[in-house]
Amino acid sequence: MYYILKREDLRPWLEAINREYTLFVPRTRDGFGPYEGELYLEGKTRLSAKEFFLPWREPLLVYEARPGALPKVVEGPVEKRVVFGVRPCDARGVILIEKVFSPDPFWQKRREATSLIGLVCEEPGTECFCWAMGVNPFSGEGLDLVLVPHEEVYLVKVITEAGKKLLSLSRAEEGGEEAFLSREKEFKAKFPVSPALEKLREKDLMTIYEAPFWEELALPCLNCGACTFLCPTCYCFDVQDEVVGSEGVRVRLPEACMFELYSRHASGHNPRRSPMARFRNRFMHKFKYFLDEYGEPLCVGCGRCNEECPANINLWDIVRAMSEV
Amino acid sequence: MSTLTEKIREAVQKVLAEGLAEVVLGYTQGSLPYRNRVTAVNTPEETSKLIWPSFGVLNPANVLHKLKGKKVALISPGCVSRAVVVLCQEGQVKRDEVYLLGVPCPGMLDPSKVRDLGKKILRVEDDFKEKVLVVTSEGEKIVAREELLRQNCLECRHPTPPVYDELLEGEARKPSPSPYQKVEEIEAREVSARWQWFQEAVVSRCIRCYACRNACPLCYCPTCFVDDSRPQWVGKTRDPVDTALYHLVRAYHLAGRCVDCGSCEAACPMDIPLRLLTKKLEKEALSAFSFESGLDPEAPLLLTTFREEDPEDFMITQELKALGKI
Amino acid sequence: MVAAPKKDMIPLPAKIEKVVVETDDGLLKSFYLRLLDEEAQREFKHTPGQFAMLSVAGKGECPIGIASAPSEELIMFTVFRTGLVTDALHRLPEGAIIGLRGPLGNGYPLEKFRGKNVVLIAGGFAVTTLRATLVYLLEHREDYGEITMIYGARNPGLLLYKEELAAWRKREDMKLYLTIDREAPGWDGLVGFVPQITEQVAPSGENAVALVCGPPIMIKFTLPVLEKCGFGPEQVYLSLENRMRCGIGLCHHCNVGPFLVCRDGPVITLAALKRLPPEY
Repeated sequence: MYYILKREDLRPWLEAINREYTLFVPRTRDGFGPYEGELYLEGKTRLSAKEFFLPWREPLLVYEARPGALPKVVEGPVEKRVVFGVRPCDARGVILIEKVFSPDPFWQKRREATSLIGLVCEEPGTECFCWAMGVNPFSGEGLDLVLVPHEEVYLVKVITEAGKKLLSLSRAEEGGEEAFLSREKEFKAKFPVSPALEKLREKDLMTIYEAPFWEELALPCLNCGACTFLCPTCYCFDVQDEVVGSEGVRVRLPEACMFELYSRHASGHNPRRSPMARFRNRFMHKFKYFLDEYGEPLCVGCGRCNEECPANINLWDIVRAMSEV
Repeated sequence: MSTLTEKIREAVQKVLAEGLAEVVLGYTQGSLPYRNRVTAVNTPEETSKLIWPSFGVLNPANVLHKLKGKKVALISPGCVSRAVVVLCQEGQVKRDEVYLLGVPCPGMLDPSKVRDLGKKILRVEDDFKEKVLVVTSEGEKIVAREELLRQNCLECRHPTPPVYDELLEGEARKPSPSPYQKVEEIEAREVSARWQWFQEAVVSRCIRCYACRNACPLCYCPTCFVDDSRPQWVGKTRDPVDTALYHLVRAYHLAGRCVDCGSCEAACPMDIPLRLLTKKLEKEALSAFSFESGLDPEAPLLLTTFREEDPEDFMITQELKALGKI
Repeated sequence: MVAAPKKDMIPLPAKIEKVVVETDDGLLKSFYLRLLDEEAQREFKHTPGQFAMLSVAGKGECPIGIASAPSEELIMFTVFRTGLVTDALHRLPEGAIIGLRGPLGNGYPLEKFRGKNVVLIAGGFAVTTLRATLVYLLEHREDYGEITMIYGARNPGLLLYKEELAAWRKREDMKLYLTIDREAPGWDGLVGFVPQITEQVAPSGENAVALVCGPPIMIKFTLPVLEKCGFGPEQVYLSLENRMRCGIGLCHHCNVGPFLVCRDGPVITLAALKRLPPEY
């Protein structure tokens, strides 16, 4: 079902949603926050919408810090919330992570409690390549509603019942299907899926792993967590017990496979001791291990890594090298 | 092609041909018009990828640890040379195992200042003197270089490397007459306002990716205090107390050592003004001990040196004296 | 979203019923646990070779191989004191409550081994899950062919399960070769490294499987010996260890290439291991 929403009707709609639910929006280039009027729609945010599902700090258990105390399970968030302005690449990231996380109760609770309203980009960002990774921003995958900025209006496609209910709070009117579909067609014609993915599927895992290019590509890498933490598909986590006074809490938090500590055994032995080995593991995971297991790369082409990598490492240099080895 | 780039390539060819080094660390073109990348050159044929960058914002001295056992030459503007000097002083690098190809530095441009000039940046032409031509999707802009320089370059006191094995010809920026203006702006605030600045600008925005630490040529501890688990000095989440502790300890750990290359700030994916913390400590070292780091590989280190005339006004005894108790 | 069966990270409270100091250096202790929840205790069914996450509140969790056999009443773990959690665990007295999550991982395919000769080769404290396996095999003695165990430690004081070793030694339906690295006073058994002893014992690879657990260096030198004895790579079973956080295939820390030690292992054949990147 397709609708048309006038641009000037966007804010009243957001206000209406905010009256009934907790509404989060992209507030600045940095990222999302509760809706308080501030709205950043010029491009994608630095921090992705991943944090609504894999938050920076997820308490799993609480306990009294004394021997023998029994831990209590933390009830995950249940408050209904709506996130507006989710880029289709970020929504696709949620779908990819879900392939792994669907059995996780904390993930499930957060997913059930969250509605996502997508916003297609006016035009691709400098470092974007979602199409190359097989993302169709118009599909609405992972979203409840998807909005396409078009001339003076937003073209809206309803994906789920929840989305329809949210849209009923607006002054949107039925229509716009033709414009929506022609925009989608235009996009697909202009931006094809990368042939690199097919090549990666066919390549032998160990041939890529043992290729000589890794050393050179990894040289400038700082092995920091910038790419990982900004990536909408990186899902590795750490678990930490934190004790303050008599209160203990076990938390789950994002972790980067680039860190030396990530794979270091308690004995000190580290199967990925070298910075290159950790660098390689990140990209092997995204473009070979995950691809082989789930049929899709663990990348949505949002380009955040390319934009923000301190060392200016470019994902395409790596994908190209991997697929052409 | 800038003449500096030509000079660098020529010099590097010579360095490799004469065996002065096995590998050369410098910069190459990046993936965007406003980015450059650190690269290693092993053969004379590869020298064509080297450039003198406009956006050489990471310190290649940081890569030295990956090339242990090799004699390495570095394209060295002031801050690269100074970082290597500190590494020599601290026993991390032997002076005769590095070859410093000094470059009088005209200062580097700030990628985010250039990025913000238009929707899409298509091309950047830098004359390395006065003007920068930036071609954006909306048109061309000519901007004074001074306006686009990185903050640490604007505040640099040693654009010409103090230590080198060979110095290329060129015109360096003049040493900054007011390196601590930004620090002083913060200093001038009330304590509570300074704390608020620290919380808002640094702590709340940090995602604990450690890009700042990993980009720093002088952060080389085999196990950083944040990674220790026995004891666990600091929590690992974005909890404000833990994040604050990380930044304060990191900054203090660089007191009397930091050469203000700005790598930490450039590396930060969240654009946190990290340099202000280290710059403040640099200012303290200068005012209390007349000390500047990285100027002489033979000089003793500030924090391992005691002189009787060292000021002690940070010690509580001063207060006690003032109170007439001792 | 498709609702998948939940796999959570919530440990069950377990009481330390008994602690046994296993080695002279005191670095290895066996913890005999009973889940507080009676039903959970009754339903705790594992396969030898599986592991569990043990957790000490305030310190964290770590993966430890289950050393007890499925038939044994208490769930037993022999723990080497080496990191944050194991250090805390070692300080706990009998009666203390800890957390247990498991059983996790795949375990040895014991059904598949029926009718075959089984050779268990252990070095140092990696013997734990092979102890569980041996107890199981002896309980189902008629289902298996010859059972041979080769077990080595640096010195006699570091051998685990000494009373059981003595009992196994007396049995006629299995062969136990105990060895220590160097001569020691009072030791009248074999002396030599595990690979050398394996070479002397020369178990036949015909209709047999070998289960090898030990330090990397031992494994490295034992594998060629097994090959010489006629064990093909699909007849040799190893057990991997990697740092892990969740134990249920989410956190990705323990990956060896595409292989997740917690989900796809820890038990793996040499044949499968050879196809993976050497990241263990």
